Amino acid sequence: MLTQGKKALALAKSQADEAEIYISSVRELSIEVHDAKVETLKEAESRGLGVRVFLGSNLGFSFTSDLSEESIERTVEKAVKNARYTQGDEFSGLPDKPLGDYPAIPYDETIEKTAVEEKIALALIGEKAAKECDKRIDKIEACGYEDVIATEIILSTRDVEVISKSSYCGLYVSLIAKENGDVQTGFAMDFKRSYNELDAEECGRKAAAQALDMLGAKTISTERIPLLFDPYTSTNLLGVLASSFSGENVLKGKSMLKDRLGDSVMATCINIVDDATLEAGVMSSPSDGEGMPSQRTELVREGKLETYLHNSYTSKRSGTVTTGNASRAGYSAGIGVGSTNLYIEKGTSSPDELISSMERGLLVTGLLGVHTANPISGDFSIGATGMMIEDGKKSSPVRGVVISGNLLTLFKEVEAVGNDLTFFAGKGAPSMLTGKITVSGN
Amino acid sequence: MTFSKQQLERLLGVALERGGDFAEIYVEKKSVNVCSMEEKKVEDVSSGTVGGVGVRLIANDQTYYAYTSEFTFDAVEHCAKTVAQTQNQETSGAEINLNKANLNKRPASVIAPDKVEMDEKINLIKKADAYSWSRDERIVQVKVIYGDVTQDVEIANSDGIHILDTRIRTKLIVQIIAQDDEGNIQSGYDALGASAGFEFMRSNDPEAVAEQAVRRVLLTLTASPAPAGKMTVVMSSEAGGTMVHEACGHGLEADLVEKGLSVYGGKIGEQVASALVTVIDDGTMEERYGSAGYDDEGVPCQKNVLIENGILKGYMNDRLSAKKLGVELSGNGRRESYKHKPVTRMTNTYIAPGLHDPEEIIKEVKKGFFARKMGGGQVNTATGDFVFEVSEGYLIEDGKIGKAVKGATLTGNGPEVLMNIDRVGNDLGYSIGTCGKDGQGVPVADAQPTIRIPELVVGGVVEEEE
Repeated sequence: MLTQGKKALALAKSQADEAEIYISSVRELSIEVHDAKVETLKEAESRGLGVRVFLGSNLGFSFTSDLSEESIERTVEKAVKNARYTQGDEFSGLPDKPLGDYPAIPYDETIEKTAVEEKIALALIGEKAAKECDKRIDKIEACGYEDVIATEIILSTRDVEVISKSSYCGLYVSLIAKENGDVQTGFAMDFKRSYNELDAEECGRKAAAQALDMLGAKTISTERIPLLFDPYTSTNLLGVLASSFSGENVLKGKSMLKDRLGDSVMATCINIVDDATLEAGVMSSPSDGEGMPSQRTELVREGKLETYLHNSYTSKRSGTVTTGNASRAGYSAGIGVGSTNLYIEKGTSSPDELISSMERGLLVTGLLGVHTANPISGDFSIGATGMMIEDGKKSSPVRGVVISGNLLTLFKEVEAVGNDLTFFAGKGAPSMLTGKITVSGN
Repeated sequence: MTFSKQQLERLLGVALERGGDFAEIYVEKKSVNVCSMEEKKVEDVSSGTVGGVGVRLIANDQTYYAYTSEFTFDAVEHCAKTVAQTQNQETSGAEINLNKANLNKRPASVIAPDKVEMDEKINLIKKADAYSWSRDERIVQVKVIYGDVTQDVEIANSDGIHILDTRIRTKLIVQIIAQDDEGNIQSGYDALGASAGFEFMRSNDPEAVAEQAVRRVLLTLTASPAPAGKMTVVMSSEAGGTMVHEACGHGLEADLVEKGLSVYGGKIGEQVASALVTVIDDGTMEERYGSAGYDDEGVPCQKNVLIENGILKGYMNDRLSAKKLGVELSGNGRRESYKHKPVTRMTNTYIAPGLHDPEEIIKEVKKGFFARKMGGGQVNTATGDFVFEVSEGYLIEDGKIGKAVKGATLTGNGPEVLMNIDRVGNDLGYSIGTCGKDGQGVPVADAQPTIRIPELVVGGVVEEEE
């Protein structure tokens, strides 16, 4: 693959001012189980190549999944042709080979070394644990295991040469609980960098507990009450906020954090970090999509916005340095700005302490339609499910309500964060207790 | 064709050599062209080809799948062996005869977008971009994206079916951001797309798409926050069919039904909707975004009446779920790419037009909410609970459409809403989208007439009491 990459780079160099070759090879395994049997088993490998060329400051991009010599020639030609149509500026171009070292991110071999049969067994444990939790667990909707092992190569005419191998694996369980005609769903997932860290029983039990807790849920009447988001729903909210940290979105006026550097944009108990060097991080990698070294970046410190995330272009245009956050969604996509392992740091209170501090409020454990929240204005109006809290105790389950407000206002009014930071693939958060928010019901 | 008939027969034989009930080879070649503008500049022009071959084996209702991005016989044979290795029967080898061939080619009238110069595509986005910026000073960002996809698939299976299908889709998207003096920021969106060649783009005006997005963003900028609580809701035909797709369509997919995961399971012949409601999925509609000649299992697309005058008639299915339920194939086995196994998916789904005059429907409402355009949504298929955002909404006061409101969300229960619909207009409006299920996205169109729901929870904002 490296030889093909170097050939492609030489070819592109002969036709353009600057060039970069990206090659990925991805091995994928996915197992779905149903009723104690394998339902689907998928094993595969695929490759692809992406070419970025610059004619002056103008960028052209092309890609192919066919790594034959003839196809690579055609792909380079197309990239050069495409560059004739675009319009760059003085900040456009490829970054130079970095001066510093890449952080060491050890490749975890446990995934590669574990047999498929053992992975099937693990998924079956998850299904069994969920089913045997309680008689009211009616059906396991989906239960599976998946892993990905990827090798990526980045080569450029600016002497960038990165070869990295990474992997992650995960389990998921979604199910239905039934009682007296009432149906409720539960979902849990567990994604890790190391196979040995997966806990199938815990994953199954979590999904079951979520559905069982929700049995008998009812709508409440419309009111303004404090909300306690659990780690999963807090992470969902962080997910909506994530695009606003992008230096590209800031430059384009598509961020709710635009012009707010140095401002106190959130409550002082909020610290947000992006860290591609986390040892156990699913998104950890020695380099970003442009071959720049990965790093740990503090985005929000005690509520104050410290920096945005950057790739080489957005950093130059913003008059700063790259944070190593050039993103690349596979060989067929160009360069953007994206988070890696993005999380809200944990606080000191346990979730139980947070609950007992509430007189009347809603513990939010599920959100429906989170992607409909407006990532630019921060306005949201999304479906929620959870548990009423009265006099510091969980009372009755709630469904069919909508919570509405503005995300930045919500983060400004966070009163406490829990000590229960949990990661869901590349993002994580602890429980968050907020001030009063509109809950629309009857 | 990548492989000869004999090669495909041999590959299917290899997949079945250690047992199994059904084998299939899916060959996909896809050519993609995209150009986009943002910050008044042509920012991205990209093109490429992706493709590969997927091999599927079904044995005792279990699915084994392997794929490769290499188009060589050896690479596909390796995939066939990978799936075969999951079985351990002694067989005398399967006799495969690809005799049910239908090697369709693209219709002659289609202008292949691959053959159209990039200049013309860039002119389209430049037109939409210039128009958008010219419309209002409060506009702070405009993004216009043009994209075309030409997907050639070849499917051969152990039932002897062998088909070729070409799907060509073109799409234009306009996203606009506007900001007022007080710093309020809003976004507006509109999209145009079809299962058609470039002739579709030539016969449509990119400025008209831009105008819809501009109008929507400016309206939202001056709109008041939506009220919260239960009220009568009228959904315009212009709203598009997100509601029927999410709140009803997914529950009518046979793979969910067969696993007991749908609220509509076991209810064929029963009344599941108001007698005014007829729901249809039709993959054969000319130019509609979800159309194709065949589905991704080589079954011809067709028109399926799912609910007729409120009575549940049938489900959409793929091969495996149809077999498990013992029903005829409906042509709804679709997949995102050669990397995915087919699952039951919608194509073009709509509530059929009724008899009521849309204006009359609004006139009858004293106080309520009018949803002119829907945004995204999500549904829990097991419970039927749904949430949709409204991207353009108004209050109805004394039978008239009143002031615009922003940030509204509609939430309810699909089966309940379907049962409660009390007016169905004689109009019909479409929207296009990419539907996600099991981690796979496929292009779909959805449509509905103007409908009225007597009571639905509108999520909005309650002002804080002093």
